[in-house]
Amino acid sequence: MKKPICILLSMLLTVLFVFSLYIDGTQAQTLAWGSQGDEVRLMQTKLKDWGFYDGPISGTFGELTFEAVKKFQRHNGLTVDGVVGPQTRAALGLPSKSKPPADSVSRGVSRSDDVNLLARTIHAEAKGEPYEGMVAVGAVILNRVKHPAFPNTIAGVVYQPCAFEPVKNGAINQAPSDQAFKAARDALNGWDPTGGAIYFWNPATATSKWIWTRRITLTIGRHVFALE
Amino acid sequence: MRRYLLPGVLAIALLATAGWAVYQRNQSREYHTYLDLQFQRQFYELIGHVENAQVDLSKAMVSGSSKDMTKYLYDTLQQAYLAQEKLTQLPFHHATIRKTEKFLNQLGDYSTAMANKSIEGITLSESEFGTLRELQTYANFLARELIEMQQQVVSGGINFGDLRREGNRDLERVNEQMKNFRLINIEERMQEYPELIYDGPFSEHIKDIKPRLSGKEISSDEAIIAAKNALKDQELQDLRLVGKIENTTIPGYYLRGTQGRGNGPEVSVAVSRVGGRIIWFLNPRDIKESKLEKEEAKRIAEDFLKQKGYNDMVATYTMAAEGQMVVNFAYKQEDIIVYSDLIKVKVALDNGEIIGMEAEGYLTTHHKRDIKKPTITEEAAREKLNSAVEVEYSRLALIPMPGNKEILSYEFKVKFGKDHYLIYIDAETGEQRRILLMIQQEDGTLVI
Repeated sequence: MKKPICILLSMLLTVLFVFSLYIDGTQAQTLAWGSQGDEVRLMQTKLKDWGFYDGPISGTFGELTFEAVKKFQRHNGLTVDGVVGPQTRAALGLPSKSKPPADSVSRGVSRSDDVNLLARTIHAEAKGEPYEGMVAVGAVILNRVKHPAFPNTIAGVVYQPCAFEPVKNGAINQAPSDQAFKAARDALNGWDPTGGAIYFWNPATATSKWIWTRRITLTIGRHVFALE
Repeated sequence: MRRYLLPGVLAIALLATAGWAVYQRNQSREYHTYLDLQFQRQFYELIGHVENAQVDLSKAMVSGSSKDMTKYLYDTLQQAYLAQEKLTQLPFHHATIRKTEKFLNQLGDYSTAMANKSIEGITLSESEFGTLRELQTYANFLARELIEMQQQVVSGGINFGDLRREGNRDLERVNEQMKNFRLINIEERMQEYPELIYDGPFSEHIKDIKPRLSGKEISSDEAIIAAKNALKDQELQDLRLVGKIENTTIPGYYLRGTQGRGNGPEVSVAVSRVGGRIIWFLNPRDIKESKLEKEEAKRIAEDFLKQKGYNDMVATYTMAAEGQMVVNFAYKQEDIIVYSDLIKVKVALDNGEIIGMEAEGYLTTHHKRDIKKPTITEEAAREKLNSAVEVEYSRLALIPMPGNKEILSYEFKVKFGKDHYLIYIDAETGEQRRILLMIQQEDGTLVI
C-alpha cells in the first residue's frame, strides 16, 4: 500500500519515481531449511534415487534433507551451503516454474500522465514567471509528495482541497505551454531551485499571516519559497 | 392593445428569469448537497480507518510471534495510509491539519519500518515497543475525537460544502469555524507526540542533513566569478545576484545572466556559499532539431564533468525527451558505484551544448567512504536470485536506503520475460534489498 512512498526515497538512486516491483517467483525461489511443499518432496525423491538421502519423503526441508543437499553439493562441486539456489536447482534438475508476465511490464507504466498533470499545474500557477520559477513550482509539488504532512501522490497534492487556487477555479484544466512541459520534466528529473521548499506564495496576494512564519529559502520572480 | 405589449413582454421576461433563477438555485443546491455528502462519506471512512489503525496496532503489540506482529503492522500501515488519504481529500486548510496528516503518515511509516524488522526476524527493542505504545495512544485519542466530531456532523453543525468556500480565504475565519470542530484540539495534542527516529522516509532525522561539502565561505562577488569560470562556454553576460538561498542544506547565491550578446536566453545559476560550487544551473533556450547521437551526447556530458574536476564519475542512465538528454552520473570508488553521489547533466541534442546541471546530491553526500569488503561472494549472491531470470551483468554498488543509510550490494541486471530488472542483493547478508524495473521507451532508458 505504501509502496509508492517508499519509492520516493530512491529518488537519489533513480531520480525518478521508483516503483519497487516484486517478481512473483514463488515457484522458483530458493529452497532452504524450513521450506515445505511439493517441490521439496520432488527434490527428496531425486536425492533418494541418487543415494544422497535416506529419510522420509515428507515434503519438509529438515536436518536430513539439509545434510543430503550438502552432500549433493559437495559431490557436484557446488558451494556447500545446504541451500538450493539457481545452480543447485539446475544441477538437481528441478524445473523452474516461474513464468514471466505475458506482455512487457513496462508497457503498462507511463510517466506521461505525471508530466502532464505537473505541467498543467505549473502553467496555471507560474505563467509569466522566469523559467527556474516554473521548475521551482514543480519542485514544490514533488517535495510535498515526499513530505509527511502532505498527500503521497502528485495527484493527491495537486487536487488537495484548499491547496492551489487554480485547482479551485478550474485554470488547471488549460493546456500547458511548452515551457511548462519542459519545466515539469526538469522538476521530475531532480532539479530543485527551491532547496526543498514545500510552500510558495505571492506576497502581493497572500493574506495569511501564518504563511510568513515559515522558513523562507529564496524568492524567484513573484513567488516566495519556504520550508516547513 | 399596443400599450399592453411592452409590459406584457417584460412580465414574461421577468417570469422566465425568475424560473431560470429557481432552476439555477436548485441546481446549485443539488451540487452543494452532492459535494457535502461526498465529503461526509470521506469523513466517515476517515474515522473507520483511524479506528482500525489503532486496533490493528494494539493487536500487533499483543501478538505472540513476530510473524503475527508483522501481519498486524502491515494492516496498521494500510489503515493509516487510507486514513491519511481520506483526510487530505477533505476541505480543511493545510495549517489546521498538517500535524494530523504527518502523524498518520509517520504512523504508517513507523509500522512499515518495524514490520520490515520483524520480517527479518529481529525482535523489537524495549524503546521501539514504547514508541508503538505511544503511537497507539495518540491514534486512540484521534479516533475518539473524530467520533465526537461525527456527532456534530450528524446534527448538521458542520457543513463541508461551506468549509470548502472558506478554506482558501481567511485562515482566521477558518480557525473561528474550526473551534466548533475538534480539529484544533487534535492539532494541539498532536504537537506533543515525540520525534520519531527510525529507518523510514518520514523519519525525523532525514530533514537535518549536514552537507559533506567543504571549503571557504565566499561572497556574492566571488560567486559571480566562480559561476563565470565554471560556465565559460555559456558566455554569460551581465551575470548578477538575484537573491540568496538560505535555510537549505546547501545555502548559496542565486544568479542570472544573459547568454551571448544581445537577446540570448536568461540563464539561472545557483552557487554554493561554501566552496563556490555550482549547485544547479538551467538554460531554458529553445532547442532545434536533434542532430546528435545519444552516445555522442553522453560523451559530451562526460567531458564537461571531467573539465569541472569531477573525476571518477560514470554515466548510469540517460533519458532523452524534447530535443534534450539528461545524463545521470554516479561516483565510482574502487570499482564500486556510489549511487548517492549523483550529478545530472543536460545536453541539447541540436548542437551538443550543455544546458543544465544539478549537483545537489553529490555536494550533499560526497566523501571518501570506508567501504567494507563484501562478506559474500558474487556467486553466492547470484544464488539468491530467482532461477527463472537471466543475468546480464553484475557489479558492486553502494545504494541509498531509507533512513539515510547506504548498503553495499551486488547489482544484477537481469532479464525476465520481455523486461529488464535491476536487482540488489545485500553483499553482507544476502538479502534482496530492492528490485527496479527498467522501462525501455523510445526516448531512452528509464529506471523505475
